Amino acid sequence: MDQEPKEIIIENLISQLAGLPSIGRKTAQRLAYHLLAQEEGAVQELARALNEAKARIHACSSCGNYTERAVCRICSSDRRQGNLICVVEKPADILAFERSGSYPGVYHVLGGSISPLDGIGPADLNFARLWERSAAGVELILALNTNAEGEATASYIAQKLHGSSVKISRLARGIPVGSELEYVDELTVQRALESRVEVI
Amino acid sequence: MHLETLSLTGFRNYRSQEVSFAPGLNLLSGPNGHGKTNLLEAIHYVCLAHSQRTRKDKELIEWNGNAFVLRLLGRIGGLAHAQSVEYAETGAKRVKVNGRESKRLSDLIGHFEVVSFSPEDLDLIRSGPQLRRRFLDILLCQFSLDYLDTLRHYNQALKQRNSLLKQAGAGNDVLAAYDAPLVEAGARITLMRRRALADLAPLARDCYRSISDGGEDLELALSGCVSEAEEEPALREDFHRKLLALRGTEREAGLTLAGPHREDLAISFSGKAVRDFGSQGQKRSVALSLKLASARLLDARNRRPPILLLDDVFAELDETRRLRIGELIRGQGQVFIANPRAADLPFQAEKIITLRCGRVVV
Repeated sequence: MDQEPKEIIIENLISQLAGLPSIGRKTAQRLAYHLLAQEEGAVQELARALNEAKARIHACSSCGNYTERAVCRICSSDRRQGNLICVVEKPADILAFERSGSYPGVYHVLGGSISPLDGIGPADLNFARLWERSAAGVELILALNTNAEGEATASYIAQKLHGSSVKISRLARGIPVGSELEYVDELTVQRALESRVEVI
Repeated sequence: MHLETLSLTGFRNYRSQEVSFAPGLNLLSGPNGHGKTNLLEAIHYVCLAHSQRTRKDKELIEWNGNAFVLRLLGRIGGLAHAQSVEYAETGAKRVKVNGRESKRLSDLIGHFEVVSFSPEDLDLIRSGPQLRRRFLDILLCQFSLDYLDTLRHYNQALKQRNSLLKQAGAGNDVLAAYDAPLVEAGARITLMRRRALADLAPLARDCYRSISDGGEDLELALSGCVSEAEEEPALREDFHRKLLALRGTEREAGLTLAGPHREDLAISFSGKAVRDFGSQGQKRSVALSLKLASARLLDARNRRPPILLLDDVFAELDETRRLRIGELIRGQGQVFIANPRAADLPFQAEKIITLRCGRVVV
């Protein structure tokens, strides 16, 4: 028996969508059918938004975060403390600090961490600009991942700025705020215990 | 803590089989080559994320098959607990613990503690340091999540650092950056191993004494450490200094040459290595003592007896040793014994599971 011909166009749309992070095959199908049911204008608007974002958004010349300007809104804000720099691996990490609404400083996006197994060395990351920004009176807060790569990258920064007047700190590890102690996993409790702080 | 049912699909000689267990003593019987050891291996794998017989997980897939699935149901502290693992020929694995999915095999560890005994345990004494390190790691991971996490960390840092040492153009600054996580995790591992050994050694000495009816004093120690320092900061410093001294040699070798991955468990009778000086019988008793002692240590640390897997150990043992194991098992937690003949047992089984060609005979 002959095989029925495939619907190439819709199959292609579904597999493009399924290639996005945290989108499975079923969700991709639902999205594809949803898009096909939309007015043509709405779909064109989506396509235009995608194209425009890709064409006009680039890295901020100061911190490396995504922006459509030369310098992003955080770096160019005069309400921000320019000498307090939080160093993160990727732009999405900034959102966590911004959601808190309480961070007064600016950011620096490295674009990843040093990982010899993946062929990523210091030259592949945004270090040159970080050294430029690390002038006297600056404090760097290292908010890198707690895996081996993140720790090595933090150690690399500390090593390079050793002897300079830059102050370097890293985020504390501990019990998530608002969580009940009895539901926190034992490893987190143990580590929090080790990095306990004096009260009196 | 005990296992209730295990379902095996495409595992060794099990096409598709569900087996249920009694909370106490389970005897696996049946002719050799029909699946007794394979069933013990499946329990070991689903609880500890590796086989006690092979390091190649692919070998566990049924002949001509392309994946295996193990699903385990049991009880921990009275609560139902489920964990499962799927392993495909492609190397893809899927782990689920109480419905929560993960891609990390090691997430299976730390729920059901297991100690296994088999005639191959003799290799612990006879072979190189790798098996002895593994013995220590498996023991420690079963009572310390911190150890499991630190070991994962260390191994990742080690892999990264070795890959760096193999790259001709890699700078000293990047290498130095990878000293940090290696030293940090490495010092913790050495200290945790040393402390666990301090608890394990007297237990092992007692076990050996009763197995061998007096006899030599069994000693255990961690050897090949970067330093004898007893505090973490001092140990870290010594480790770091050692790495700096080894820079040139490490670059030539393309390998990290110091750290917990080079340590060994030294086993001796009054300073004489059992490996070199022990008789075959002494080695067998020492291996057994190590396992008995680790079961006791797990019991003491976790305040519940571990699950024991005993593969064909009674046939080779004399009366004294049989009784000794019998003593350990009586009134303890859940035990699985693979033995062709029920008559070899010094006690009564609560459940007898008869196996023929990868199936339970009812």
